Amino acid sequence: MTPDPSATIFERSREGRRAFVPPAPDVPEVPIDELLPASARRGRPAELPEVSEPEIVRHYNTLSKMNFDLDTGFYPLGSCTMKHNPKLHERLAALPGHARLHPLQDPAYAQGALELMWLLERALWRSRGCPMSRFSQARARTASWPACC
Amino acid sequence: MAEASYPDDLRYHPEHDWARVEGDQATFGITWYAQDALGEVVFFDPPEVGTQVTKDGAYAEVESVKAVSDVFAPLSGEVLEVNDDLEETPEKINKDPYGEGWLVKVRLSDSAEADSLMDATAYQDLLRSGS
Amino acid sequence: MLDAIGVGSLEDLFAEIPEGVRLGRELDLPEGRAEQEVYEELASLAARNGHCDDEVSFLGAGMYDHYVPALVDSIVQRSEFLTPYTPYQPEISQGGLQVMFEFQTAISELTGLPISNASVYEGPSAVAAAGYLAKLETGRTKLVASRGVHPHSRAALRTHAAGYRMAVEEVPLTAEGATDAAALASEIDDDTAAVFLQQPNFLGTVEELGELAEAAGGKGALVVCAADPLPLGVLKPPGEQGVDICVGEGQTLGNRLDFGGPSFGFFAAQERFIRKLPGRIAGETRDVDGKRGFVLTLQTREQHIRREKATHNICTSQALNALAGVIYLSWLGKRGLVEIAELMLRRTHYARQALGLEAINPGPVVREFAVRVPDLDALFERARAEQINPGYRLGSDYPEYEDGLLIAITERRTRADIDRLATVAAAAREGVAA
Repeated sequence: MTPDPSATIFERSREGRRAFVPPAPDVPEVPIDELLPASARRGRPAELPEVSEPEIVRHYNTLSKMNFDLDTGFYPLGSCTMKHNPKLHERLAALPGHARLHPLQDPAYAQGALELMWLLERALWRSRGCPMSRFSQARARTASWPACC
Repeated sequence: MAEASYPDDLRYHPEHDWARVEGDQATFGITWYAQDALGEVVFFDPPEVGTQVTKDGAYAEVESVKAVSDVFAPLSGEVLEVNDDLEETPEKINKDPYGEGWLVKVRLSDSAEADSLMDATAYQDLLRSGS
Repeated sequence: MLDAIGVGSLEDLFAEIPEGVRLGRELDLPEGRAEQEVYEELASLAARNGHCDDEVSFLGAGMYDHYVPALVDSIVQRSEFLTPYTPYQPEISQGGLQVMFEFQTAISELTGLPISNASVYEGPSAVAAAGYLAKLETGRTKLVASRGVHPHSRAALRTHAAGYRMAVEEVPLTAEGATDAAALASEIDDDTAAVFLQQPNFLGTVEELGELAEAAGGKGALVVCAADPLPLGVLKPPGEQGVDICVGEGQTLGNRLDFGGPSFGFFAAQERFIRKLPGRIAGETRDVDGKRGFVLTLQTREQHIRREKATHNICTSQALNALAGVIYLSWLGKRGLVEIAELMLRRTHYARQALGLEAINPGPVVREFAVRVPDLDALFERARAEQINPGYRLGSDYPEYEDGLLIAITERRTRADIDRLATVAAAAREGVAA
């Protein structure tokens, strides 16, 4: 049976269903009201969905099929040029040395990441003839603030 | 309002605003042309009562689905009243721009300013010339 | 293809560009290489990083080592989520727009505030954006921030505020590591546009948000609270405590650490701010056949329509990271979010006791706490030798806590991990080999 595609994940919720199983407790089960005063505690849990993992999978997979995307066809745009990004990138970004590295890690233990950023900086300024560039903003429009050289 | 109309008893400003002058007070709004160009109005952001508005200055904003437009004061004065109905039913600006779609009522500071505004004929000439 | 479009050569395509602005040389970039060679080089760089699979990490301070279920990647890596463009054309973007709508709903639920945008870049810029909203709303020129707000967020706020000509004043923490309510009240005046708090604060302290908000609200200043979404599973929602705007960093919801790389920020607010909200908003509507659909809405706030009067310069969202967030929240679910927060509460309590170090903030905490360590260098040296990262050194951001260490206990830190840290800490104290 095909689920109603327009139902939200909240509307698929059924009391008692779950996907997450917490790790086994290994510290004393101190009553929560001894750790957190009532004035700071939530009165009732946030109304998040109660769904199982297969339901989450089906829901979002169904939604994905309602999107056009670059891997399917092209976008004739100039504003945000939609080009193919080599699939290798996803594999590399997911390597634990990149993905599991904390931003505040001691620089002595982040030399690979820092060298990577330095290599990219150099490639950018070499290609543009600028003396230096900056990594800060996430996209072109906000990058116009700090401005490259 | 389906068809263009420009009542004779109003004075018109080149930024497509009208004024109905009654003694030392006036009511302001936007013309049929303005509401037609904007499309379906979804929000009117009024000034506070008591605000001073200046002729030719922007005193409020009108929002449609795809655009935001400044509303210009045809005359100077102090805002006495604001059309509160437009909060719930902004579409009145489209349906009845000269009646229920009125925006503000103002106490004029200089009634002579009205002489510099256009009458209905002159305003329509302006529209035809493709302003 | 040149034949197909009736052009003689590649050069002819650039004929319009004046000589004076042309580069006139080849781009000075390395030659392209085989995929295998690129992989080897970048993988060897990765191998030189000390990451959370290599060490037991108690490092938090704004981004945390939480467990992300395999479910997230299996959905987020789908081409139809990974590679589409911004959903300006709703008819080809219903999947992404519905995800945004669900995300907004989840954020509203967590924060207790009725409206939310579809995400912004990350936490600190969300805090800065709230400052701008306060300026638009009040026309005032002063912002007041507790030193309990993340140092990066306060720095971002200062940077942006300088641009829109507002001053930022800071309020100190008490001896217990919570925002000084009296100092806050005395700093706020008729020119204060907004007050910035954080829950839990940077030291991990659970703040008395209701009281602080009351102190702020009296003079017509907006109350902005930066919050971490995961502890909101057990903490009273900011929206129920007099907070006007709740923003925060979303990395803890299903996103990787990535050396601080892409995550999302959230921005939720009371209804009256809806026309001043920054960022994308997805709305529910009906199509021509009367069926439910979703669109980007209230676009007249945004710069592609309102230009210099836009409420912000962001013209995008972190849709993929927000998708990871809403999947993660659905995976945790209503009960799971409470369970994971309670697990962290108990383990953090256990850690505070096990470590036996002097508390900087002895009051209630959820997942993080600060302690004084007589010889931090010695502790770090011993810990590193055991592949343990003991946490964040507070001294560089908080001179008042020069010997301070911020320790994070996520659900990934087991009792065994905590016991190991306690052993190392005890050994460092006694100056003997562990």
